[in-house]
Amino acid sequence: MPGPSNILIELESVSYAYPGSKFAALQDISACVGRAEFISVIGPNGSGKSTLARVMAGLLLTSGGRVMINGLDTARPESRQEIRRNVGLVMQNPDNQLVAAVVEEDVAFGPENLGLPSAEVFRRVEEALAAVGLSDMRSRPPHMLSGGEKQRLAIAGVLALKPLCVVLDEPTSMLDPFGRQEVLQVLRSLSKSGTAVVLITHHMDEAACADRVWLLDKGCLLFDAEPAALFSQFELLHELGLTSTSAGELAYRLVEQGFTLPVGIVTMEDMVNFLCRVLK
Amino acid sequence: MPCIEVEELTHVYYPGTPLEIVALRDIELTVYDGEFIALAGSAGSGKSTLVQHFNGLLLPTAGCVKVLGRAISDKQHRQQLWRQVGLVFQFPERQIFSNTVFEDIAFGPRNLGWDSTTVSKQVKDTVALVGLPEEILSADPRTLSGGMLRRVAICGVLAMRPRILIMDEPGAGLEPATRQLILANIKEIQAQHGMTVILITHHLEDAAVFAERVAVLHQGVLLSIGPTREVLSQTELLHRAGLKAPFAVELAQRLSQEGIPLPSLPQSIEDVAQLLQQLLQTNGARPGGASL
Repeated sequence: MPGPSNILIELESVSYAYPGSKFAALQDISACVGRAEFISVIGPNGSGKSTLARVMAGLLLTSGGRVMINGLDTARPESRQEIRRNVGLVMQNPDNQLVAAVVEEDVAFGPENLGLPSAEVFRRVEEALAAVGLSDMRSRPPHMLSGGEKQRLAIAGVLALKPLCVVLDEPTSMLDPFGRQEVLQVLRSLSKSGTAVVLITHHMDEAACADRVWLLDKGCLLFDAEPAALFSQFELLHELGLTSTSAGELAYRLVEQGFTLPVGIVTMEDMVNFLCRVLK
Repeated sequence: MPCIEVEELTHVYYPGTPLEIVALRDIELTVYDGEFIALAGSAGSGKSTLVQHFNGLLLPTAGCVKVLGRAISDKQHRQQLWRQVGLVFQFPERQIFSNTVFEDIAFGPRNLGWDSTTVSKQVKDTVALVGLPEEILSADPRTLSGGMLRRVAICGVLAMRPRILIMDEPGAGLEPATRQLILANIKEIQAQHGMTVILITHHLEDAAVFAERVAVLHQGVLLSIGPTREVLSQTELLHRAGLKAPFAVELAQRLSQEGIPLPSLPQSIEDVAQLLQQLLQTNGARPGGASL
């Protein structure tokens, strides 16, 4: 948990219901994201993950409770511009957020709108493209990129704004393992260099890379813990139609076979270390 | 019996323009009747281009593709292929357009010219086949969850009773349990009805569990094709293709580097669990005693 001075996004008893719906998409969620913290959000389909992403980016205003971003209330119209600059949202389908006819122009769209001098725009485009590994494709039209490349382009467009926090709604569901790894590396280095990352994902191995994991179900925050603690909750995860990480699932099978394993085996490294200790 | 024969297939997009891209190069591939084959490869490897030849959406730039015995260059044959080769695109729920689930699933069968009793029977049977409740037929698709909607969209293709079903990442963006359910279901239908299934995926864990053979594409070239176990054990080749070997295979290799060889190569987490059980027991670590 981040200390009070380190809090970037604070959710205070946040609830949300879509207009015309009696059903609450989010119910009484209280949590916070620290500066440079890497958080992943997991949960079954329809648990409110995407709604939460939109609420955290200030795109949706809460029906109850409050969202504070870098000290600014998302409900106040005068802070909206500042909030948009502070939190970047990358959506599931990159086609929804690509705007230009050439890759580098697409990345430049954001910084140009901030009214930055062109030398600075060039520099940011350069950096953002390099960060997602698309430098070689700068002059291609986006519609001729593959799905994975498009998603990396969408991320570059957000990175070029140098936000304090990037919220990503299943950015890797269309990517191949290599592309996924690349995006994950980008996200990790982002959080190391001071940008907070909120990653919504269905890939548990990916979620386990975060500092903390949030588990959502039916609009409620069921769990807010370090990966090792959450991914040892096998029964809870299975009940919700989710799984632990691959290593976690193997640990679960071994426990079921009657072996005693230390709690908190979530990565390949954990599993290899454990087996070496026992079998050598 | 082969149902798809691909000979020296080359496909070039935008030939003769500055945007010219060779999407497929000299592909040789045979798909057999009734098998479950996975087509793996990273983004841009040519998977989608390849399967679009299978139902005549694309024509070869060079080479020949025969589906169900006849070349797709034969116009008459090509125009009838959609009746027998079902293609489920990525995120198929985006193609749902009707106000009720029934209407949406019935669209394909109606286009086949079946009478309304046959259509309605087929729709009902298909929904039952994938384990959805019959009441769902009167539901408005917009009220369904993502996983349900995906299954409804797949039903729309299955209801036409295709002999060959091609699915492009049917589990993308779904929670793990639903993804497993969809694939297990398709596997069951394949086994019971002798349908040929081609699964496009870059999730080799799924290929390991469901596919009998795996073909690996990389930059338009067929790198490898063979029985699932054989292909998935070639980690270097998979890596070169931008793919990741299943967790079980990677773990086995890490352990063998550490001097703990497993008696055989596992494919799935269940496999490893079993192999480790033997190993832990023969090493004197009885159940309950293997901690620290």
